[in-house]
Amino acid sequence: MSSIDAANDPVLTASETAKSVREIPRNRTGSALKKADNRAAYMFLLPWFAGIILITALPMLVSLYLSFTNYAVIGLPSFVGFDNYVRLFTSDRRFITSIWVTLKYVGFSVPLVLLFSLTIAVALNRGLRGLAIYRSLFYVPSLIGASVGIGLLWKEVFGERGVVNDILALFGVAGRGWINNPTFALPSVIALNVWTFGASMVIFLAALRQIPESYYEAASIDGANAWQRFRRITLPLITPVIFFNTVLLLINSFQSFTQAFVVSNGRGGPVDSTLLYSLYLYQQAFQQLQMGYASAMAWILLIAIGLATALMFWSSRYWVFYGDR
Amino acid sequence: MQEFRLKKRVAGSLLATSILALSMAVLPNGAAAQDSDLQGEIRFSWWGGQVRNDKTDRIIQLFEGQHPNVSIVRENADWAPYWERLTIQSTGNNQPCAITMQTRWLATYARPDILMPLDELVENGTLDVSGIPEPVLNSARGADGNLYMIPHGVFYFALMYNEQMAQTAADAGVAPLEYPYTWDEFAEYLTAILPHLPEGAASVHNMGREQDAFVTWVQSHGEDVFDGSNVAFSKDIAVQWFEYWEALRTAGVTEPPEVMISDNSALIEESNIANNRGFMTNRPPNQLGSVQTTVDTVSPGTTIGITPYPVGPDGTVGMDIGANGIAIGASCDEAQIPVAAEWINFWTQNEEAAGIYESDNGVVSIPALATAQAEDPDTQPTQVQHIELYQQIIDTANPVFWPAGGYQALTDTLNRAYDAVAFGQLTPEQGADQLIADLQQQLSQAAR
Repeated sequence: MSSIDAANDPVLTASETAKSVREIPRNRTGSALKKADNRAAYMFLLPWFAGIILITALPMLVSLYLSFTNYAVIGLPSFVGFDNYVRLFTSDRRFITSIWVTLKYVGFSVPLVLLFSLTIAVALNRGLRGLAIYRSLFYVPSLIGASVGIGLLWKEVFGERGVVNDILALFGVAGRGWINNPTFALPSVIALNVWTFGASMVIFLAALRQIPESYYEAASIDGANAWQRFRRITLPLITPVIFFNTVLLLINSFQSFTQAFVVSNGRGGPVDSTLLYSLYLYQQAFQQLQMGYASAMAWILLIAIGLATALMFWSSRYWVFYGDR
Repeated sequence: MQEFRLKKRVAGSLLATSILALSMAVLPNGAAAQDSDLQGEIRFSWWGGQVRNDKTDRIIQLFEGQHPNVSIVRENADWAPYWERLTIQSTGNNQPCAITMQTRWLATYARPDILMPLDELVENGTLDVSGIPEPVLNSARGADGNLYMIPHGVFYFALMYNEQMAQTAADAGVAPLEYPYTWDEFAEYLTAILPHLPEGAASVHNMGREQDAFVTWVQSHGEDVFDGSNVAFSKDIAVQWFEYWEALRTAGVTEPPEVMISDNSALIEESNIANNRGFMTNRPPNQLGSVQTTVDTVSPGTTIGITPYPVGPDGTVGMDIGANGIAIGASCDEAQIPVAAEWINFWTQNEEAAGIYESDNGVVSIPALATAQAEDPDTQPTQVQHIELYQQIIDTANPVFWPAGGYQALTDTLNRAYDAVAFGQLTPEQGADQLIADLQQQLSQAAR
């Protein structure tokens, strides 16, 4: 009980309060109390510490070590120095391909998801009746989009005899096996990812609802049209949320795996057109059993994501408006 | 009279001896004594679908019935996850005692710290390999010469075709394809049959990306696929392979590349051959029974036949054969080894077990059992075809020694190279260069 609580407590009189304070042992000084509090805090944090050390830090350190070894899963690792890293950049054609495929995927996915989610959020923010229902409907794909089941469904939808081709046939357009064609396979996977825009949309919607209505009223009185209100009021005020969503989407997109794995049967095909970085890493680790090589790839991915995130934070000073600066 | 009694006694003795000998022959090794002392629990792993799971379960029940103190823990998985799981188990020294193994994957696991060398168990009679042909047994040896599995089934790849479409074409005057036929004769037949197929149907599944067809092509032209952990086939032979399928594709004899890819991974019920969209495809003949069952539902009245791959210009047969068998995990406890060995003996030697399995994962490796199955009126006709074709090609087949990671590497690299050629991204020459370079890189990586 704090002193304020004690003073307000009708049961304790002032003299009793003073007595209770005097009864604190002499040796229990302020620093001793602080130490006891710290111990309690550490005890509560212990499970988290155990988790981060055993499940995150230790495997990461092992992975860092393995990245400097030739480790074929079966057998013991042998130290090879920077050989894995050198081979990745000098003699692995597919590694370079996987980087290009991933950059294309991230480059199209992230802006498209942002665009879709913001557009739908703005539309839903117009005081529609049944907003909760629409919000839930748009959010559902985010919950299931990364699942194997949806990947399989997508495969059927965009397959040779899928729904997309059935619809095109109604308009007399001859369809094709979208996910079996190297030109269209990656766009199909990107489309699947864009379809899962719901999570970003909900965050945008929350941000839009925080903007005071009076700003729009004032702008309207001054003659601003809808686009100008959006451009001059909405967009600047939600830049912190755009930044947040962009960073999250960027990190997730760099690590995308399930959708490409399912639609290509784990091959990244046709002709490596859906060979995302994480998929190639998986192939090296679990199909070709090159765990040392795959660990080196994992560390390169970590560094790449770190750099991309750092770049976003650096750029944010030029375009993110926090209002208090 | 006395002479008659003597004769009768001798005849009686002979009859008793014959019955005893016959019963010894029919009963599995060791089972004659009904080894009631055998006890313990082992884990047994295999790959396959529901039909194989059911058959395996029945065999396990039969074995456990004969050995009441033995328990077999079932561990099954689909093909690809099976190997991934075994790898992880091997890393943790937690592999099952009895492991279904295949010669194509053996080199990856054939090490004494993963699989137990079995020569000693064979020499001291614990493992019974009687009746298994020597070449089949030797195919189960690792690069170090040790025997690592006991083969129970020999598998091969062949072509499946629609018998009604073949008959329609024959009625229209197209000369039937009689084995042995060369690759050129094969292409001529497929081109000739095309006008007689239902509208939109292709004569043959595009096999440019199929490794079992490619292996047959290479070997039938007198070249090897691998030399240890190196690529052994020439660029020319790969170029010719790509050109062969590109010629058929551009002539409309085989399907477009998008369809090729989707048919490659399609379930049999969705496949072109099951839906009368294709005349011929390549599928393992041990699946003939399940393919026919599916076709009976999807396209009633259609029957599927099997035929070997074409031969080379000089008649050389290039078909690869491999063996499936059971290995013992190196982590298997010493007390469990007798159980694992008895289980292997039962699986490979017991006629009833072989009858239940019906050569589901390769033709049963003991020729006498294979013949018995083929002659058994209860055996499904599709399995009889499977066994008879095996008996036709076994003497001329050319088994490949697959290096560590070789099967996966050839499958992946051939898929990519031919896909790039078929989609017009690479010329056949460039495709061959890419195939050889990528394959060599993966083989070298696996051999490091």
